[in-house]
Amino acid sequence: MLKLMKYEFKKQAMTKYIMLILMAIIEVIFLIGLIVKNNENLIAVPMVIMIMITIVAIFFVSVESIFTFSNDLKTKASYMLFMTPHSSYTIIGAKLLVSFITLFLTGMVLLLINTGNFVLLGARMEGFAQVRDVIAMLLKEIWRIEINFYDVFKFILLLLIGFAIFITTAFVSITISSTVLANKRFKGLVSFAVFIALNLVFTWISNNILATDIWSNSYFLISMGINLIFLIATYLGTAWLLEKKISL
Amino acid sequence: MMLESKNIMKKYMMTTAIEDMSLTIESGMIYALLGPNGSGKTTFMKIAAGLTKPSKGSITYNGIPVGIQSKKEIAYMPTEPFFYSYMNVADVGKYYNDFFEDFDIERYNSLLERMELTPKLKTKTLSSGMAAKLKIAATLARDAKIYMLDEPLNGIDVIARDRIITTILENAKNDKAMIISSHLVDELEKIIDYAIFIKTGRVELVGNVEEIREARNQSIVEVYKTIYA
Repeated sequence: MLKLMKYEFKKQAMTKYIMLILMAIIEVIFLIGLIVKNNENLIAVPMVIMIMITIVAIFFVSVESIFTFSNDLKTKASYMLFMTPHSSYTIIGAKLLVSFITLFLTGMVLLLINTGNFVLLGARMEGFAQVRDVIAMLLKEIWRIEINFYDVFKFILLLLIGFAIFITTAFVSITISSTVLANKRFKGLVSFAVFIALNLVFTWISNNILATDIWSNSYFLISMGINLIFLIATYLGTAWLLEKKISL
Repeated sequence: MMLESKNIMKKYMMTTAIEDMSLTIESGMIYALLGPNGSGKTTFMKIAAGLTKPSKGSITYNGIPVGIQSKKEIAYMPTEPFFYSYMNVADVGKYYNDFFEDFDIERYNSLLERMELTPKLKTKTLSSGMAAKLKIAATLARDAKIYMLDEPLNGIDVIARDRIITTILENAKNDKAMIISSHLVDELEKIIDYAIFIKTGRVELVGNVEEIREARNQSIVEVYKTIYA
């Protein structure tokens, strides 16, 4: 499985390098702005760009995993993967693990960079530190949200698992279109409908079964439990379909 | 008996690629899978390689349905280029070495030399002839029990063809079986033990090459023309 994971990483490595180089360039511009101090444009613009890159990057990493999987099923390169003496459960497991690890690492690295930038900015510019404190106070007084590291961590974890489910539901849909619907017309449309339906069902379950206090520990634990069940079910569904109905 | 298919059928949307095919492949033999385009040769090989499931029927390797174990011992070479585009020729060898226990990297390197391929070449830049040679080198560097070569001579010039046929014959041993599909029947006639003629997804004729020639008083090329003309 580790060898399968190694080649999955290699397949998607180039875009990660580009992303890191881009972030490094913008970070350098930001640091120059911070050291020069008077140049607010050199601080504000890179910060906004980096926050935008963070959001886009997490979404992109998810979408790239989906496109890679689609290519692995729909192009001749699929032989390369499915010729290896591994079950579909191992192959899909390796793909998902790589997607999740990449997603988690991308999220964490970008979060650390952005957090580091805010800390640096707060230390360097008093005005910014005051604005930050006012926002934190407003959140606490008006919405009773007290931001602490643990809450932020829980929120990010739930966000990342949400993206992971986005990936696995896409995997199921693509697999349906390449296996049971392989010989049918409108297979793309039907599989897209399956993708939407699965996501709607999951959203409905999340909204109707879970507790309402999203900052409570019980919400976090129940939500993680449901997410994991959905994640495992979609993984097993994908691998089972490929094991029984593969048609390359 | 190594590979056995029983009444396999494969349907795609509006077409039936394989109608009803039962075949037995024994070790120590070289088989030619013959038939025009669309007769079902590639589909049969893909099913035997575990890359496609039949709609009906069964296919077993040493009595076990094709799957993980058969993939360890059956080396399949598809007709189309299938290597990842980010790889170079050396990466292909590393990939096979990582996944197939029977892969011999030294033999791969010597086959590359014979095929005049350099390790640094990117797979996406290879001409169709070079890509065909690379497929042959990667597949025949395995010490597999069954080799399935789908159109191995496609896109190969006459001189390289001889080199490839020599390489194929080097791999043909008593404990191995070789299944080769090709339109170039005259090239194969010299080296095969058995001929399997496939027509519209069915086995039209199968038998020992010598026996077919004697019984029909025709060469295999002539039998081919009689069946498909």
